[in-house]
Formats: sequence, C-alpha cells, structure tokens
Amino acid sequence: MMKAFQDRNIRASILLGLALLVALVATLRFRSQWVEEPLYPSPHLTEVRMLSEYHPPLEGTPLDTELYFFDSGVPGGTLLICGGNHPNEPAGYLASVFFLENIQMTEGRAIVMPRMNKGGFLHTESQEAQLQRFRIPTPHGEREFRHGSRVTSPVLQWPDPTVYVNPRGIFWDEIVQDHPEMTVGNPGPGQQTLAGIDSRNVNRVFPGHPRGTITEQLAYAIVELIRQEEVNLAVDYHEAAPEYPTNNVIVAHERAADVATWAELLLAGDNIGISTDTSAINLRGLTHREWGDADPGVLPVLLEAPNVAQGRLKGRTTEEQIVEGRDLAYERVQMIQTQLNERLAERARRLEERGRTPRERSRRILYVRIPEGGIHIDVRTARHVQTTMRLVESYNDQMAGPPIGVASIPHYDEIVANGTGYYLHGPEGEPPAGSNGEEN
Amino acid sequence: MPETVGVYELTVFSVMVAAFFISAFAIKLPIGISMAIGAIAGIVAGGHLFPLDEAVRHLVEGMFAYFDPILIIAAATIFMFSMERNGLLQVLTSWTLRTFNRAPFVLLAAITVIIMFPGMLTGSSTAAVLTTGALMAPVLMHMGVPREKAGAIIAMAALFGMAAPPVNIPALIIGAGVDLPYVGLDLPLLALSLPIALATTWALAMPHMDKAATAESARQVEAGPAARHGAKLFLPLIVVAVLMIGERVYPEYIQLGLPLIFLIGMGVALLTGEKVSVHKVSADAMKAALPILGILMGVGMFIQVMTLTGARGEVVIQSLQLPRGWTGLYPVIGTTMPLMGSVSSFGAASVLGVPFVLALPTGPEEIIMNAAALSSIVAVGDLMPPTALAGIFAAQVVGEKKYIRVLRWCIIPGIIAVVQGLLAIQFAPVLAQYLVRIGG
Repeated sequence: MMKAFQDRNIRASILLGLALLVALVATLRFRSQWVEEPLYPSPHLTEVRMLSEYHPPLEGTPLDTELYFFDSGVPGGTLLICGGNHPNEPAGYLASVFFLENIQMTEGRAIVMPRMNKGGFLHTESQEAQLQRFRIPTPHGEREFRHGSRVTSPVLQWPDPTVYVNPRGIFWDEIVQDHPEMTVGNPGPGQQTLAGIDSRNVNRVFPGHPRGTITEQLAYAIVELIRQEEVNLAVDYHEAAPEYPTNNVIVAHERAADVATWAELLLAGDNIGISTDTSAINLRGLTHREWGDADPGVLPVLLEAPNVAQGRLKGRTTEEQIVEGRDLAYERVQMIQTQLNERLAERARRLEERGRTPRERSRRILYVRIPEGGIHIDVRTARHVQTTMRLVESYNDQMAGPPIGVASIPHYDEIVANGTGYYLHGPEGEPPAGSNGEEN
Repeated sequence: MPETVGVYELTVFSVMVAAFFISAFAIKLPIGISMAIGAIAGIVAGGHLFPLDEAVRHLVEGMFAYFDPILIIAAATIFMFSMERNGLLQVLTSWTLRTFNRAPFVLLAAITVIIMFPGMLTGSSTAAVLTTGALMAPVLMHMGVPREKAGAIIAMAALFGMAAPPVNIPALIIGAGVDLPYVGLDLPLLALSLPIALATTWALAMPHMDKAATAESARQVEAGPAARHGAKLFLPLIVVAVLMIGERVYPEYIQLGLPLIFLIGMGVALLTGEKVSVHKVSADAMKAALPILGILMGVGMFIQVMTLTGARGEVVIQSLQLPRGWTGLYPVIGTTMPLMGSVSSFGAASVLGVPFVLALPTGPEEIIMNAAALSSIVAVGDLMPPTALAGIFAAQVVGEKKYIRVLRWCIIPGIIAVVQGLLAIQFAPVLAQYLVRIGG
C-alpha cells in the first residue's frame, strides 16, 4: 500500500479522489440550504404577489420574493413589514413571519415581505462559522428556519468590486427638485464609497438601479413597490452584535422621527427600553435613508435588537447562541467590562490626585447588557413585534397618514411568556395554538 | 482571574497551534497543509467532528474565504512571468538605468511611488509586488542594491501602497463594521504611508548608491533581443494600467476585476514581445504561486475553525481588557493586529480592527484618524509569516529563495510603521484637525 502511494500517479489519483469526495459531501450540504422552509400566512391573507411585478427583469431569478397582502377592505394607509434583509439576523426574519402568520387588518392594508434578500438565505458567510438552520418549538413540533448571510450569495453575484459605489443617482434629480434641503450634507450621486462586499448587501445598495447588479435590481424593485403601492409606514427588521453601538434602537428617516419618538415613549409603558436615532444623511444605501428620500410619502424605520450569534466576540457556535441568545463568551465580556471600568476609575482617581488628566475614565465594550441566561429569540422577536404595534399606534395618534388598523397581535409580555412558537403554525401547517381566527 | 478566561476556547486553540507546528516543523509538511491539519485538529478537539458533513462544510467554507485573492495572485503571477519571458522586463531595466542613472535619489523616490501605485489602486500588496515590483526589481539590483534589500524595498513599498489612498481595504472593512462612511480618510492614509515608504527606500538603498557604478551598470545592461519590438513591447503594462485606473474612474463602465485584467495583460504580452508559450508560462507561474495559494486556503480553514470553536472571539476578548495608553491597549494593538495579519490582514481588520476602533475615542474626526492608523498598522501583517504575502512574493521577484532573508530588512521599517500608527492614535485629536476633511 505504502509502495503504491509512493508512485506519483497513484498518489495523485488517490488525492484527487479524496478531493472529489470532499467536494461532493460539501456540495450536498451547501445545496441543502437552497431548500425553502414553508411559511403559513394568516387566514386574513388577501393576495400573494411576486416582487418582480414591480421590476419584471427580476422574474424567474432566485432573488424574486413573495409579497403577502392583507387588505382589510376598509380604506386606510399601507403598512410594509420587512424581514430577511439580513438573513443572519434571525429575530428580524422571525418577527416578519410572526406577522405573516397572525396579522389581521381592520383599516387599510399590510404588505409582509418576510424574505427580502432571498439570495442571502442560500449560504452562510465564510469565516463566520454559522449554523445553516435553527429550530423554534411549537406545540405541534419544531419548525426549522434557515440562518443565512447578510449578503447575496456569490453564486448569484460575483466578483465583488474593489470598492463599491452606491448607485443613488437615479432619484437625485427628483430630490434636488422636490427636497432641496436633503442635498445639504448629502454625498450625492456616485459619491458614497463602501467596501466591495457591500455590493451584495441589499441594505447598502438602496435605492438600487434598474439595470444594475442583481442586488441593485432587488433594491430598485423594493423602492418601486413602495412608490407604486403608496406605502405609508415601512418597518425593516434587523439584529446587531452587542458590541455594535446602534442597538435596541429605532433608526428613523427624519420625516419618521416624531412617529418613532412617540412610539419610544409608548414602549416605555410596556417596560421596553428603546431609543430613536435619526438616519445619517451621509451614510447612503440603507432602508431608513433611501426609502424616505426616494418616496416623500413613506415613513421608513429600521429596528435593531441585540444578537450574540453575529458578534465578533462570540464563543463556540451553537444553536443556543441563536435561539436562547446565550453565549458564555459574552457573559465573560460583561464581567471583563465591569472589572475594566473599576480599574479605569481607580486609575483616573490616582492620576487626578497627582494633578494629571486621565486619558480614559470608562469604556463600553458592549452597548447592550447581556443578562445571565441570554436574550432569547422570543424576547428579540417580541421587541420587534411590539415596537411595530406601537409605531402603528403612534402613526395613527399623530395622524401621520391615512389610518392603519392592525388587530389580533399578542402583546410583548404574552409572546415572551408563551414563546414565539406558540403563535406560529406547526411544522406541517397546523394552526397556531395562540391563533385568534379561523384557518385557511 | 480565571473566570474571565475561556478555558475551552484556549485549549482548542492550543491544540490547533500545536498540530500546526508539529505538521510544519516536525513532519515538514507544506505550510498550507499544516494549517489545514491544525483546523482539522481544532474540529476534533472542539467536539465538532459530527455530523461529519457539517464538519466538511465548515472546512470547505473556510477554504473559500480567500478565493478572490487566490485568483488575483494566480493571475498576477502569470502576468509577471509573461512580462519576464517576452523580454519586457529587461528592456525596461536597461531603459530606466540609462535614463536616470545620474539622479539615484530621485530615481529611488520614483521607483517607490511606481511600486506603490498598483497597491494604491487595488488595495493589494501582492498586486503591487507582482507587477511594478517585478519591473523595478532588476533596476534596483543593477543600481547596486543587494538582492535581499531590493526585496525588502519592494515588499515595504508594496505594503505602504496597500495602506495608501485611494483604496485601503482594511480601512473600508473597519468602516463597514462601524457604519463609518469611507470619507475623509485620504489625507491621513497618505500621511501614514508615503513619507515612511520613501524614507524606507532611501534608508535601505542610499548606502549602496554609487553614481559611477550605476553609470557603469547602465552601460553594461543590454536591452536584449526584445528591444527590436520597440514601443509596442510596453503595451501590456499600458493596457493593465489603463484598465486598473479605468475601473476606479469609470466603475459604471469598466468592472473587469483584477484577475481578468491581469489575464488580458498576459494575452497582450504574448503578442507584443519575444515568443512565449502560454502553456509553459502558465504552468511555471502556477508552480511558483501554488504554495502561497495553499497557505491562503489553509488559513481560511484555520480561521473558520477558530470562529467555530470560539477561539477567534477569545483572542479579541483578551485583547480588549486593557486601558488605553502605552502601558495598556496600544502595545496590544501594535502586536495583535500585525500578528493576526499574519493569517490575513483583511481578517484582522474585521475581527480586531472594529472592536479596537470602538475602544478608542469615537469623535467624528478622531474615529477617522484612528481607523486610518489601525488600517496602516494592520497592513504590516502582510510581512508576518507564515503567509507574509508581501515578503514571499518580493523574495520571488528578486530571485531570493529564502524569504526570511528579505524579511530581515523589513523588521525595522515594519516596527517604525507600527509605532507611527500608534503615535497617530495617541495624537489623533491634534492630527485630525489638520488631516481629516469630512466635507459637507
């Protein structure tokens, strides 16, 4: 055997065979992520359309995605709910699925887009060592959901440019004409440069381009949807690593700032701590910025909740990281931050005693406190759901547009107490245990 | 303080490192294979071997992390070999020496900027070494610069080119991690790269400059038979330069990507000089490039498994525990970033650069200065073994078999570059006033 292995051709053949076997096993595993998990809309669904109706070249491509319409039949405004902008942010996806499977409109209509970037659901990011799926228990059994990447699969769009330039020029003339105030501090067309990989991050390529890359066309189609369907309030769900400063926050276009701030106060009454950030004018390509600039009729907001599984400090990859939001590494960081701040305070005191100015008095490594036991996906999903409900309430209170009425959505406390799965269909489409209405 | 240390993570990491060292130095397997064995050892020690197809998926996913740089390196090496074989290199050396032999100080400055140029455009030190670095290598050596020092000059200039504006990929990656637009970085990056690049070349080369010897050398260097092809011999260089610049200036029209640009350059080289066999030049180039391509694949697997087992997070956590200053965070930045850069400077920018920039003051101008400084420090990682991209290829273009001999001369400039970056962080508030122009 060893003698045979010393022969160059035999050795090459054995190694080649081994490489092919590895390639086959890996291919089957990667391909398994291309299988979509079923979603079960609430019985109040009125219509399903494809996004390509708003930009036909998208038809038949893997990025064409379902839009679920829930029309109350009563005149009113239009609410757009988006999940899966970044498929590695599972509570964002789950919150949109939660609405999809429970929503009932009483005034106006809702459009739910649970898989905004289907191209991100097809793969996981290299070097992030993520799982491909996670499970949510329901009273009828476990539901599986895919855990993807924040960017479109390179199989669909490749190679990345060295530097990505956002194509925002397409609506520039309208902005100059209709909203000259928005040109102040605004980098303008062809001026926003980003890392090359962001060319596949749909939340950096808005407002997209009708003849651009497939991700730019996806972004363009979404903007067309917002414009053609005259969306009034648009909510985009995300999650962020605990060390990322924009966390537990509503990021609002300046026109949506009042609605968001009032919702923040209403959420304080629910014991949900959240803050409002106004969308930066010089960081282009994001939903809360470009949707609002492209369509003066829409109030766009983006919601962030903390997720340890996408952090740079994360520990060993486990399903608990995603579902229970628990990670011993982050618990250690919490402890390290406390000890570091004690040391810094003591150091600052000593320096001040000697008449010197300390360089650093305290440091935030984490922008979210990770409680013992983690931040469960039920809590993160419930935050998004409750924030959406309060945003709708705030929008109606302030008469920010035609009224929007949403019924049949459980409160934050109920979702946390019963678990998200209690309100989802079973793995075979069994009705949710927490369902209020009749079934399809 | 044992409770702040991840025992599991560090144990697995130790096993990975031990497996790598045993494979590389005891069994003397190639570095790339040894990295892969380290990764497999991590999977086994971390308890991630089953399900087996999931373990294989992680290894293959990691292997693809540097797929784009692998293509760039392969194509650039083929381009370099074709320029050498068709006679261009010799003609250019002869012409440069004859024209500039009386002004070595100016010539050395010009050589530095020429070597930096592809790195400035592409953000890749490898692209710089294998293109203009390869062109300037014989010029430097004919001027009397010893082989090892010529390699060091090329490696350092390429590395500073990678750190120089307009394209600094680590800065883009750090910016993407903290939502910092790629604006206002040009002057800080130029200040941190160009002066030190020129100083390095002069310091290494000037002691060997002897005008009479250079003039004598210029007389002796024959242009070779390729001179009969005249100006058209330079066409491959012109085509590659035009396409590289075109991609930056007109990204909406030219998006070929570096690998294709280099292959087009090779195609032109085949038609414009001495007869070259496509098969032979490609095979020889791939033979030369294969070890480094293997290292990049092995490194990708290694980092993927570090992330999978939490070892990557642990490295970051342990790096963030110290207060700012020369007795705390700065030495940690100065050592961990280049060290992790030894595996990948882009990976280090993402994994360490983002937490570090958040651990430093985050005022609007200071954060830009700090991001620029961190990106210049991380670039030094391209000199660190085992990958040592800049060093390995610089040794190759000057014909030095042991790249450590080249790296020896890079140690002092490398340390100065790191200290310069740390000083820029220390004096960021002052420097930012002069160097950072965010604009309207």
